Amino acid sequence: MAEMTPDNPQSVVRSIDKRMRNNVVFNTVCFIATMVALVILLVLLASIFTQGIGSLSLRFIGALNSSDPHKAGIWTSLVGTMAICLICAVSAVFLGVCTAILIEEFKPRNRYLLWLHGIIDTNIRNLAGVPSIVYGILGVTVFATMFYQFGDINNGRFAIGQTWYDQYQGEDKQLYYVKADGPNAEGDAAEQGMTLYLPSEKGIGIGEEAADLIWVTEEEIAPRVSAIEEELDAFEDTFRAGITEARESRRGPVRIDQAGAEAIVDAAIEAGTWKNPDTTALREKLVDLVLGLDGKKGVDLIKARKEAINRAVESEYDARMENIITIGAPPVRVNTKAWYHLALPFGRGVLAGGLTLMLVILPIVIVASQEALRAVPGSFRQGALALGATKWQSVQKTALPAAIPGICTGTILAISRAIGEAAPILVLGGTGFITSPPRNLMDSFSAMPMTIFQWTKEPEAAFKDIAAAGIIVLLIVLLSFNALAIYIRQRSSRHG
Amino acid sequence: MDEPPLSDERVEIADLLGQRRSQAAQRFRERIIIGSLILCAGITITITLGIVYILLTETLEFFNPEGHLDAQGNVSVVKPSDFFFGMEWNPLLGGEKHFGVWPLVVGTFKVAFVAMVFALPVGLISAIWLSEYAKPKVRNFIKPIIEVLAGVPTVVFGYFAITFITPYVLRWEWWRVKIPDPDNPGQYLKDASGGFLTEPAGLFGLLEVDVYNALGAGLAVGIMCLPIVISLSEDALRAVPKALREGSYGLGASKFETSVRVVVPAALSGISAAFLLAIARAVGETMIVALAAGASPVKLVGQGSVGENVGSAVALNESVLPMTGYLVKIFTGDAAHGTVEYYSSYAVAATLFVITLTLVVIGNMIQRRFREKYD
Repeated sequence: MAEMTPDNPQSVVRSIDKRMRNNVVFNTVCFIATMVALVILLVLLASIFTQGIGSLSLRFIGALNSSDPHKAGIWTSLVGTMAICLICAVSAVFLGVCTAILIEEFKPRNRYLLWLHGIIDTNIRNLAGVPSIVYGILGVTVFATMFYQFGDINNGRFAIGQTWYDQYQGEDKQLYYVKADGPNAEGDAAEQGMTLYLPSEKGIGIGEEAADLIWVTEEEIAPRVSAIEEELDAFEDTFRAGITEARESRRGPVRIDQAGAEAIVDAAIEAGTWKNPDTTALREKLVDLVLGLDGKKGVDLIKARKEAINRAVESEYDARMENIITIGAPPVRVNTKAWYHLALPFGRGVLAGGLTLMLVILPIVIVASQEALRAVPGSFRQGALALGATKWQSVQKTALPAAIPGICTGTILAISRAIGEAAPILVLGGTGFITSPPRNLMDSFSAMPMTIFQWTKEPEAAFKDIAAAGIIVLLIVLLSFNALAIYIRQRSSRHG
Repeated sequence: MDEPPLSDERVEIADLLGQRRSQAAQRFRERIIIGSLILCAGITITITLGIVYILLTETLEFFNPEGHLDAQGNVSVVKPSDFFFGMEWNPLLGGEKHFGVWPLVVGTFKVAFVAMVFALPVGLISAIWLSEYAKPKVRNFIKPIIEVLAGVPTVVFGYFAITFITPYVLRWEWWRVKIPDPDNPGQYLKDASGGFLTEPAGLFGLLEVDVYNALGAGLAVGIMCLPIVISLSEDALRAVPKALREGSYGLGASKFETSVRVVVPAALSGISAAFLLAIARAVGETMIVALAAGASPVKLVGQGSVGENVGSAVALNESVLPMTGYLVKIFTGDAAHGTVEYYSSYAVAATLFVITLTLVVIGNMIQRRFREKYD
């Protein structure tokens, strides 16, 4: 072993060799580690892309959520995400920017206030590290249930934006509406000659006045039903005989195909005494029912046959009972909700969801705005103050405009965090299976990350595929947000 | 456009006069604006205090000596000592209930441990490469990609864990062998549908993982934390003044020696802050563990021998229920308001809050101190 001394230059050279080799080895190790991060990102994107691309289509983006993976789409949760993120963005930007301005620009001179100022400044930074699920629990407690101070969360108090109706049902299942005062007073039972309104085009609501109503008493109804049943006896017999004919050796299971089913139904309809001339709809339903009998026997067969006969009686009954209303029928109290419908507590709806997300991103927005304001040189403000501007004027006219691009970038990144955030929404929304997009501020909703979570949880493989397709949509939305932030940052740096 | 435009000079004078006249109004307006700013800041502060208040009061309610109804209609009383020192957690099953928080804490730290074993070394070394070795062009190309990784929602990593990491990495076929049939030499055991049954080969027996397991979830959490570690550590390394590096080179040190012996020690406080913040993220991560970690609390007691208890406390291949996983389970289930299960979630959330906040506060404190040193 040669010692490493100045007298022995050989050893120094060798040692330099070794050290340079170490350097190269370390460089390689570092490079590999960095590549690991990149390769993982690549594998992540590739695995999701290959799994999801097959299910991704315009139909998938436009379809509502469904319990059938082949019919389910992302539209429900895409609208839900947009709704909660709009509420979240508006509230978080307003509160966040105002707080940042106060903290950065209006530092107090009083010693105790300064101490308080320091604590707040530190705490906001720490709040950004609190797990989002804790904010979710806070959101549930404060917004959704309001500490259970207002009773039932599904039936809030101080409701606005609701319209109440009494809903009456005619004998032919036609619904009629009358405007009601509120949720609590009892509606009047149907009286002879009262004015009823047909539903409006949107469904529930007041449309045209119902004309030519026929009022009957309850006693008159029962004989009408039995009359129809008697008149349909021939139908029933023919139908029954047709089914029996289709059974294997008259006792085994039914064997039937489309043509056979149509023949049976046509024969039975031909035999019946119908007051309703149009039996097309009835025929379609009955053919379906008869086709469903294929392979059935025993009790199942009897049940299905009974259902078909009831269906026919019902259809004929509805046709004969047009415009007929029973006197004394009790109304049902129903309501419609405008988009601004609100009540206390907020319940597990869009508003509570948006405000909960606001809690999550508020610290991020504040910190980003603070940093943007801090980056504006002090000379801007001093110049304004020297020209006689007040403190607020100097902030409003110099510091704030200069900080706007930075605030925008930070805010957009915060919102993209909110779009991807699932834990608080999951805590707030529970496992509710939502199929329709929200219609008002308190309507239940589903957000994209939450839907992806629910689909991933499903054991069926088809759900995993649409979850991947949902992730692709989510990533595209997020990437476009990030691109917007980068665009703003670059444009402002070019101008400034 | 009938009026002739005023000259610039006249506008200024008019402005000035206008301002003089309305100085009182201006002062009043300013008061209102500052008042509303204070109101906004007040709301923000209320939120901070609100978290603490709610977690505290509901946790105290959980320890109410009069007890609460449980899901079966029995009254259970939980003492603080049962919660903070208890080694058993089974609130949802029938029979005797135990609300000892340690199994959940151990579950959380199992996942976080795996994540950090992966993310901290890989992240730090990547940061060193990006800050010390990479050419500016390469760095400007790689940094945005890492930022993209940081922006990926956590539910995506959860999906990745359950559809890729566990089935294709941890339970990969290449690591498994067919099981010979003991009755028929030369034949292999088959399952009901005719496929071969397999078991992990040799040392890979350690990787015999369940469908839901701490290892897969931990790796996914590690991938999620990687960008945080890289960018925070890189910031810390780049904040080290150039003079320190140049001094080291001047004394004849190689790049490797400068990085490891000079730059990293100088940035150590920033790096440890980055590590603490990453650990806090891993501990508080919810979606990945809700999807991939499973739902059975770690069994710390009651399995016969001490060895078995220790074994299940450190086993990474089994399903675990971390604190965040329990919170999801309670809030997505039907734990009715007022039951002991409902209140237990607040106690768990408070524990989680205290753990993460401590990590974050220490991390931020260290970070600020090191920033002051070089500014």
